[in-house]
Amino acid sequence: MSRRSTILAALVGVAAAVVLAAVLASTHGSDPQDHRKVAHVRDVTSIVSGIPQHGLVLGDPKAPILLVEFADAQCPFCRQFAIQTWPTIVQKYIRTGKVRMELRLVDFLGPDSTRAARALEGAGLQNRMWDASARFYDVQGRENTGYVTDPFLRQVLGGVRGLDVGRVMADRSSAQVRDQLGATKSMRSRYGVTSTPTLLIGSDDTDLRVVSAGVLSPQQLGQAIDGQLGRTI
Amino acid sequence: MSDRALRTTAFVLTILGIGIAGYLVYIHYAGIEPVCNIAHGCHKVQTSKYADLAGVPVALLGLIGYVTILGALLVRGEAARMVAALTALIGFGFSAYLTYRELFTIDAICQWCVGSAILMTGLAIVCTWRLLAHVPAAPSAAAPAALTTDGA
Repeated sequence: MSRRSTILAALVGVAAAVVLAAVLASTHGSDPQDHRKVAHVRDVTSIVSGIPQHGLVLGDPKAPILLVEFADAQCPFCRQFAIQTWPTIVQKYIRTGKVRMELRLVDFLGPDSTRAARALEGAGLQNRMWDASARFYDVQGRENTGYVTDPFLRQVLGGVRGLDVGRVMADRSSAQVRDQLGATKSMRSRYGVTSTPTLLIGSDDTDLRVVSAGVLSPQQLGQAIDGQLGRTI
Repeated sequence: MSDRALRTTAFVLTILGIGIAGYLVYIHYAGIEPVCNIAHGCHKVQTSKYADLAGVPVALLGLIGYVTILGALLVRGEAARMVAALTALIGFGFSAYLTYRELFTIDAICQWCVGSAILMTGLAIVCTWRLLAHVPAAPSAAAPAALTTDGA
């Protein structure tokens, strides 16, 4: 074997080994099943415990600031926002009656997004949408793998106190849920929302401006809210 | 093709790759949307499970790869040529895997990722060619004769 062939074979061999290791790490990393195991012992709904909910809205209906989040339940960035930023905003601004927050669900990513949105809207009809979304993000699976099945949704919704899961499953195809998703679609077009999570802020649904398209830190979003509070109050 | 031409080609491909990977790293950490002409394709790919490898953004790994190749191109010698070729071959292999995932698992195409995959393919060819061009095809039997000639 010539030296040239030896070098080429060695290079290709080493490169193939490194790529194979990377592929294995990519394939076996962050199994969504791990989240599901944690979900059994962690009560993520405690974040919103005791805060009033009315349909899509979390917080005091008389709060001067409205924060609207456009989210796709399948979107990992939305999950990141829900875990890293949202709890601080809830404690600092929503629980204190300064801000009310509205969750607008879209289905940018695929059919699993649609199924999740319908179920979460159904939970909203019982004023438990935010509990249900926190549960969903906690066990969020791999995108578009068809994981949002009826058993999966029953598992997610079953962890929400006071929620009639059977009614939610039936309400998914109701006119109310369809109308709500239609209203979200109109609002999305009006404000030019093309990605998730997108956050808008204002005083009501007709007077909003985009804060960000992407995940903001609690500090960054807090600054935007403080600025709006300064203008409103 | 001369070594100079191969090195220049590799250099241009690497700079373009640094541009793409640098942009994707920036939008990842800034939390903003990439400019994308394919409806939601980039968003879908960038937010998929395959956008990270063991917690490190794939775009950052790509940037590290391109910078490594650039560094190796700036240094003379067989070891540097070998580092450039090996890094480019690894980049090519992983890019091929990610393109497969885009087409058959994520079901979306990110134009930036495709651009980077094409650049890595070019770099793997050019850098490997450049390395092998400097290596004799077989242990040279002509060498003693050449020495003899020189010594004559």
